[in-house]
Amino acid sequence: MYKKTFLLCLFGACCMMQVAAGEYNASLFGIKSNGTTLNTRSIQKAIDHISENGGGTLHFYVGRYLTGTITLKSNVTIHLHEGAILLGSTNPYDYEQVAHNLTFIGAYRAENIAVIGQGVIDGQGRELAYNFLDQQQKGIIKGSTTYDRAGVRSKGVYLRECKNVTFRGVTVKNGADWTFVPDQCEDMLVDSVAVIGHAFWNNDGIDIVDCKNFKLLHSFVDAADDAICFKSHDANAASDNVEVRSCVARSSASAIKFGTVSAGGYKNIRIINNKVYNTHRSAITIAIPDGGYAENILIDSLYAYNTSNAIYLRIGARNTSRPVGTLKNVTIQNLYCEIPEAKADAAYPYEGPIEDNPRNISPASIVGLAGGHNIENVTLRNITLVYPGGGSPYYAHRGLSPAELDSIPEMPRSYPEFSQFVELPAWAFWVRHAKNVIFENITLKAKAYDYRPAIVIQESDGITLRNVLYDEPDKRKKQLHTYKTTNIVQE
Amino acid sequence: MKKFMLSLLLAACALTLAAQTEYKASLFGCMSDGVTLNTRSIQTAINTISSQGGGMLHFYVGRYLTGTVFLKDNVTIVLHEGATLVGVPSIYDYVAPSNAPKGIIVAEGQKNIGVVGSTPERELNTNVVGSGIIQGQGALLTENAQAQLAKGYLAKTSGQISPALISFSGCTGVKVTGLMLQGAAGDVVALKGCTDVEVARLLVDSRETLGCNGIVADGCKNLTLTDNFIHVSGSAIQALQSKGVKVKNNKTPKGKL
Amino acid sequence: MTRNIAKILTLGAALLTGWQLSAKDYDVQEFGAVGDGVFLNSCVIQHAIDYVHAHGGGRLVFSPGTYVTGSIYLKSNVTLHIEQGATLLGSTNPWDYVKDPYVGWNAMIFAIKQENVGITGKGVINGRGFTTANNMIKYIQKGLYSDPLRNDRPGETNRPENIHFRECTHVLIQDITLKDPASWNQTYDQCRNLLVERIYVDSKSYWNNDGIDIVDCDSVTIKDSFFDAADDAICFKSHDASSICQNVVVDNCTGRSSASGLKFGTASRGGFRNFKITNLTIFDTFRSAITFAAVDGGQIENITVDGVRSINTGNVFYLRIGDRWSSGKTPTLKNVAIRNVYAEVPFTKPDAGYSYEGPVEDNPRNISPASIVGLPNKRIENITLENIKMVYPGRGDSLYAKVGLAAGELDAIPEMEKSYPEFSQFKELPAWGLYVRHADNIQLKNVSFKAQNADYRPAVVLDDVNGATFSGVAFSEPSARKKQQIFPYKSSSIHVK
Repeated sequence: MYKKTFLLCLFGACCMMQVAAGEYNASLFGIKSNGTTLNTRSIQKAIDHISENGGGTLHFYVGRYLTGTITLKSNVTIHLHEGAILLGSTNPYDYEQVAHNLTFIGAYRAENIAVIGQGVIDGQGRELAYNFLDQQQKGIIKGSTTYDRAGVRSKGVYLRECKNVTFRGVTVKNGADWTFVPDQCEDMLVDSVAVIGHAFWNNDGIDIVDCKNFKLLHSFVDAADDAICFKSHDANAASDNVEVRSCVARSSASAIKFGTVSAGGYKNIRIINNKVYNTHRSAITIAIPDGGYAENILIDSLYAYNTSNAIYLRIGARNTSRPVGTLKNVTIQNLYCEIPEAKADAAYPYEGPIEDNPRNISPASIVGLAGGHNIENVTLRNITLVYPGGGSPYYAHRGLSPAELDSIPEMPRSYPEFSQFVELPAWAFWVRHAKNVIFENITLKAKAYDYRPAIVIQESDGITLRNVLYDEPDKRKKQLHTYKTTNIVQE
Repeated sequence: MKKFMLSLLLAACALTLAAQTEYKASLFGCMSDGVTLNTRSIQTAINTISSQGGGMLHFYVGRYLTGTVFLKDNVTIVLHEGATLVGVPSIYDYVAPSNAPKGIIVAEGQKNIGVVGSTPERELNTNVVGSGIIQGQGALLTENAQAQLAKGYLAKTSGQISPALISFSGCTGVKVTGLMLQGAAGDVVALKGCTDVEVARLLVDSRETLGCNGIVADGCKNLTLTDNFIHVSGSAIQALQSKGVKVKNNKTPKGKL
Repeated sequence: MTRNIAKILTLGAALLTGWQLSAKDYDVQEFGAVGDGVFLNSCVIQHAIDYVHAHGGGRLVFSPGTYVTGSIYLKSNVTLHIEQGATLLGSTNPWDYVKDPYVGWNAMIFAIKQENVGITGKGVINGRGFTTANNMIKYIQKGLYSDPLRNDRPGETNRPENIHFRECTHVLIQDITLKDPASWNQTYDQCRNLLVERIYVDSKSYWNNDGIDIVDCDSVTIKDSFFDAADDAICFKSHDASSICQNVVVDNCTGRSSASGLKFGTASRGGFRNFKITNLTIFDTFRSAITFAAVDGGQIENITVDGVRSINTGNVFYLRIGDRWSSGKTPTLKNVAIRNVYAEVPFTKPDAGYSYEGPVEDNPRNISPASIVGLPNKRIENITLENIKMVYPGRGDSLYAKVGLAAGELDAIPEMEKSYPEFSQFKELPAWGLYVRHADNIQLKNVSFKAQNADYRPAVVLDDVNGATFSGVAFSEPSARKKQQIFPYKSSSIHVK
């Protein structure tokens, strides 16, 4: 009798403990791991229930959990154990908007949320995107089919105005659109995460949009579009105090990118000890084409292999109703970049398009706008760029005569891309409309003869070149050409 | 599957389809993922468009794997910037039009056909040069074909193993402009007995196979070759027994032709 | 001496030829086929088939791997040998298939007017028909493919089958697993000398998924095989009024269907003759274990069915003469013997839970009896039923549906000669075990009818039957000891022993 009571008490205590600890298994809510049961409603119920009951952790163990949109709620941790896959439905109608964004995993104004473990979030984006397109072609879903793609598609993960967010260990992949998008989040840590976005066109890897106190550490990002990407969608917001450290990125666009949309701005950004490879466009692009600003940006210890371009800094003016933006106080140091002759991202799904032909290999570029919109205070230190060379004037030609240099268009309204000017007059660096640029300990190597000089600087002011070495088969060639540039210091 | 008559039940759809002359490739299920073999989807698209009176078949940025497709009357393939037709590296997926080599895009006895590049409107004002791409994967294809020859599974008829990128025979009103043409297993553009042909603003880079020629015209009439850049291992331009040939401003890496 | 040398040489040449014939295996990968589940191999496989065909024939071997393909045409003296672990996977792109203009059907593997062809090996042919059919619907809706989209689905001749052989001789289908076609799984039409053995058929991925269709063939053996189908499992058809399906053996087969297990018809223009069906098991089947439909002017005769287990199946047998598309011909159905049968008919839906369950039709009706239904002037003749035990649920409730035994009620049962022949077509029938109408010379020997619950109807109703013998026929129905279980109406020469 006593024994029985004791056992009952023990049992009760266990139950209590479970509730108090907030540990819940997915099966408790009838969530099925067979890959064919659509679990949207039961997973959402589980999250809502845990959030409403003091918070806790929802555990998914090995299995395939098919679901449509699920929304994370405050104080809930999703623990995807090794082998657990949250699998996105391929039916467009299983997706909903979270904070006006169609997404697979969403959260809006939630606090203390986390997704952890060795499991996977797989949006099945390719099948899903084609199903969106089919419905748009039939006019059932209203959306543009520009470029023959569905204008309306769902993102992988979209978090808006969330605080104290952790993503650790998980793999996020195959969104039908951008893969992982924290938007105006604060105090967020993304650690040891793999973001894989090449299920469909425009699949960015991680888009850090107007976030504050954000860390991206020890992560791997592989994307059809930009891999690690800062954006600013809100003119009244900005990314502030962001650190990207010890990550590896691969992209069929740019590996580390600021932009394209730059409504607000970026400040106090540190990108330290990262690696880039097999990337179709630039290792680093900082673009201010829509107003806004970028300042106090440090890029230190970046190693880029088989990457088509090293650096592209650009001010544009796509939006004529706003003042032109600013780009200043940028330090890029300890950069090593190898630029290939062949296509850097060949054989990846959704290879980047070859554009702006004909042009020989394009140089790294720092390009402001005429009318005083200079890029200011750029320090380039301890940099080695290795080019294939081989630029042929018969394929494409841009000479050094004033007429030819003046005829390079400003292109303020164009999409800012390193190749946009088609052929440029230098093989390693081209600078225009810049002020106070320091080149220090720079090695520029071309493996084959190129008809162009290494560096062309035009329409700029305050350029310091300190210990710049040129290594090209033609040793007698004059490798620096300046035009309409003042205050040049060579040491 | 041969006829694409429109069902009465789908009259509404049919009307919109019949009225248009611009078609996007995905309408016919063409996949831009680089691994789906689109031969029959593209062929279906061409047949449909031609039977509707003709029009443009648009491919947007992406890699479209394909074997031989036959262009038909009044159909133009438009390859937008970044759109790449990729030849499948398997010799049995290629067919030859009569009296001409095998190819990726082929035609025999058709009128008013084209393969053209296109770029979005830009501030940079230039004629479209080397926009969309046809990539032959010539080295892989040749390796595959030679293995089949060595095993005896492929008959040793000459010319069979080296598909061109574009091979037209007996066509009238042909336009091949504004494209990048890369990696042909054989000659890049082969034109046999064609009339009223414009080949312009091509960027040809095809060095994967030895002796591959750029543009080979044989027995053509009223042929214009202008503003092309041709980098091949064989000869850039061959015009044999052709009449009314106009060659202007073509270049190779060694200089002007 | 010279003569002897010549003889030896000839012998040697013959041996050599013989050896070559038996050893000609070709690895499809050697032709460049890729078994990665992605690469579309149609052109490569077709070239390989043409090559083997042109070089004296042999087996084209698919080693383990997944080979995607669209339509291919098999040629004389070529066998596709698909090893265990290998899958021939149908493309999901409808444009990769051909609707052959001669046969008027769409398929993955065609053989037309070829001889010595086969598909063997313990591998799999998977049509991925569900996806292909749904992709086809997209194109129909966009106006790119002509199809009336009847019942919101493409027509069955537009959707690809796994196999369609026409006018072939010496056909061997052995060991293979055939699954998930978009239409019927496999059709053999006007073929001679067809052997199907040890195959496994999983055919329930889309509507009209028959298991196997033998159309107007001569000399067919189907044995040791398993069929699970959304539509009819083992199906004999006759599409051609001048042809006939004949000389067929079906032995040791098991079938499951959301329509009928073994079916003669529905298309029955020429007819069916000389069949021997032995050791057949049918389970979880929505309609009849065996249906004979002579509704299009053809003849059905000399059929022996010996050894049937029919478990959890909606009806045991249905023999029917109708007059749908006879175009002047007179249908006949005679000389059919059904022996050694054990059958259990459930009260609930036998195929509940299977994908593409059969549609519930012809309600309200209580559980339908096995039926033999001719037409007033086109009579079913010489039917023998011997050593049969049929277990019915009973529970026929006259408040739910009722056809009584009054002359007016029996006469009011419609003839429905133009209708699709289905055991349920008359809705409620007046018997719970066997209903016979417009038939001559029916022999029942040692037949046991068991109802597990009471039924308002008698077990057997005979309407317009000339000559019926009941010998050793037993009835079992709860609380129905004195019930008259055989009710003859307008019938003559009825003998009960």
